Amino acid sequence: MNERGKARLFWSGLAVVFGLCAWHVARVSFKAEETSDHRRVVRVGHFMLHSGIREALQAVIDEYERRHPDVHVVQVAVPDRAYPQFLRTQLVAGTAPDILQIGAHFTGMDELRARYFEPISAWVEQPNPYNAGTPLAGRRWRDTFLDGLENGEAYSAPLRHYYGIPLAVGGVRILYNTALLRAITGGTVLPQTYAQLVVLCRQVEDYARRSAKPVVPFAGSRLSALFLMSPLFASVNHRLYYDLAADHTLRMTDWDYGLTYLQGRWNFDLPSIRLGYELAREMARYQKPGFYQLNTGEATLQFLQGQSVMIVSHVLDVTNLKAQSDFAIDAAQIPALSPDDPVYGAGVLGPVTEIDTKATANLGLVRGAPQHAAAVDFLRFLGSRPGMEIFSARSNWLPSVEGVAVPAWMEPLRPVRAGYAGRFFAEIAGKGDARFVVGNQLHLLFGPAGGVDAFLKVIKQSYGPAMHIDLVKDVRESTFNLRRQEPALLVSFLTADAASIAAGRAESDGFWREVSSQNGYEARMLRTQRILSQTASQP
Amino acid sequence: MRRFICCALILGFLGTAVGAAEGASAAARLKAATAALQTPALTERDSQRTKQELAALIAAEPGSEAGLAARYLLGRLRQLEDGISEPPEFIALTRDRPQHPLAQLAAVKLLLRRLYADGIAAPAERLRAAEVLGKSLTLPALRGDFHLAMGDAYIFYGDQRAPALRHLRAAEGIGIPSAATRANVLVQIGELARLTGDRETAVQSYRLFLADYPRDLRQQIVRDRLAALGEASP
Repeated sequence: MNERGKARLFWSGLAVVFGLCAWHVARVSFKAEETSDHRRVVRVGHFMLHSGIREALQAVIDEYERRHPDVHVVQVAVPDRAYPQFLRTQLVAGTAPDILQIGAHFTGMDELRARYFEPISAWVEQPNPYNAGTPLAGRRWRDTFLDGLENGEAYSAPLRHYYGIPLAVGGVRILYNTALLRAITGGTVLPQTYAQLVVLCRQVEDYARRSAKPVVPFAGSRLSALFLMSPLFASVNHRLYYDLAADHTLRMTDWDYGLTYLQGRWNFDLPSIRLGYELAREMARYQKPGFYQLNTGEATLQFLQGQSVMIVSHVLDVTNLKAQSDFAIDAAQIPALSPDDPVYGAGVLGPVTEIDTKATANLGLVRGAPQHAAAVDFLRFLGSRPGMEIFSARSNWLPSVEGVAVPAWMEPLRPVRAGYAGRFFAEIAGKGDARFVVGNQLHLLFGPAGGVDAFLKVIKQSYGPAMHIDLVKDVRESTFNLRRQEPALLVSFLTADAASIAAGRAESDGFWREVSSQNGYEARMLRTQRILSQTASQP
Repeated sequence: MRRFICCALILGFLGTAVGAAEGASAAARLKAATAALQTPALTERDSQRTKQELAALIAAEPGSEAGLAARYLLGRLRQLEDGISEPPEFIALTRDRPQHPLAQLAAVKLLLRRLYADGIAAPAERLRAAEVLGKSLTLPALRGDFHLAMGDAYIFYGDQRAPALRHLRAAEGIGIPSAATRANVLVQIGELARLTGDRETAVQSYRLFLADYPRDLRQQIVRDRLAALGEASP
């Protein structure tokens, strides 16, 4: 064999060895159901790449493996931008991990859930054995979660099944630079009331002037501004909110804001609406000019560079911020308005409740998972009180399971249960056309040359017609949905048990349950249509 | 035959599928029609053809189960696609076989339109017509839906609290399958009872709501209502 032949043989051999190695690695990472020491391998795919989260999950895994030496749990962490593609391709190809994170906002998630995820309803209706010996022992598993698994990732309303086990609870809080706050005020605790917050903001401005440092009260972005303003705007309009719920349900649906507007039951000249916008403008003053054009990353940078005392942020971002900052960060609730506030108190009932805060970061079981039993068991451990104690202590995420202790600094992150509905500001912006009508004009409210009058002058002209268009679209879409349901409903009737049809009872499942749900949906749609035709001739 | 119809549907030959079903049994024809209506790429022409097939099926077997189901489906298509509030198929179905489950369901669909569909009828007339139609309903699930619809309608048309309360209490008595709807109804019963001076009913309903829906946004405001009635919250 000549030199060339030898070289070819060498490289071919190397390629074969490389191929074998690559195949082995891929097999272990993506397909292996057993390790070389014959442990069963459970793979968990997720996009929780926040600082410390993989380590926290690994700590749970380590404890689980200690309890179950025959199981090896492997994390497959995927960047969030690539995750939807990863999810779909792995599921379709049949190479998906046993457990995958669910993102309710992903396109076609319900279809993916229906086809590729296994409902875990049977398990969550039973007590979790890993809660034995804890105060949660004997309780139905889903009732041990703070939100009762009533979140869009854990539960699919269209499929009527539970699919996910959440790892944390969401929410919004003010995070603040404790050292900077101390330098400015001498204290380390944020104020409790809105009036005191305004005083603090003025102190910060004064400090910036005196020290010639570029410090503002809040690091601002479009999202953080809305996080801050929305509950305060809602507080100012509490009394209006309950007055508008004329159907005596004491709640407004997303569409009720538009319908009641078209019915002339509220308008932008109402004192509490104007006050709400005046408050929003006041809060805008304490952020850098142009904040509404900035994204969350830019606001985070301002905060981390010490250019602001506070940032309003999602609580899941606390871990990231703490990991990146070289100063202590503490958390506080957004100061509440009270009915005795001399400026804004007239419409206020009290604080805004967070009682319906949803859990997040849900992990689901893949249908046909190679290590099905071990995967279910690992989810049970992860979603138990002992499992969550480990995860929460290391992740700095609020635990999704009841009764798990958190460090003192995390206590203010817990959802506030007492209080009143906090949904007005966002819904005033409506959906579709109306949202753009309002959102595109907010620069008039926040800009130095603008103001409440300038803003309202524009949206008073365009909000009603835009909302009318949105509601017409809603009726059209609802009619289409009803039409689409009809043949399936008839098939359900034809194939249902004759005795249950004759009994005509709407049990938790079955044909009459579907019918009842459809009748309620249809009644709402017809009522909306009636209001639209009643108000069509009005300006 | 069934396989052939399925293959034709899968391949997108809707006309072929419905045509093939013409020679089949009434049940197979109905099945083909429902499958055709579920085809994602359904065109206006396909829909018209399916309606013709359903009409032919009704004419051929007016009294069979398949014929009655076809009548219901055609009536619904006329309501939802053609905007006909009271399609002749529903009128015939509720007249000829009032106790059939699909006739009862058709009555609810007619009732909802009598309450809200465009027309010149005054609210009182709409409510009266719906009450009359509701008397024909005997199946518990549909009676429950009837009471819910009437409760909301009495509120919608002039906030008539006493009849609304009566209907909503009847719905709760029958049982409301949707948790979200039941939570609303318990609050509505509490509020309407409070406003009409029925303190005992109000307190009972508020308490039931607080116990059954501990994570609902309305916990605080309902506690406030109880306190205003001189009752301690649980």
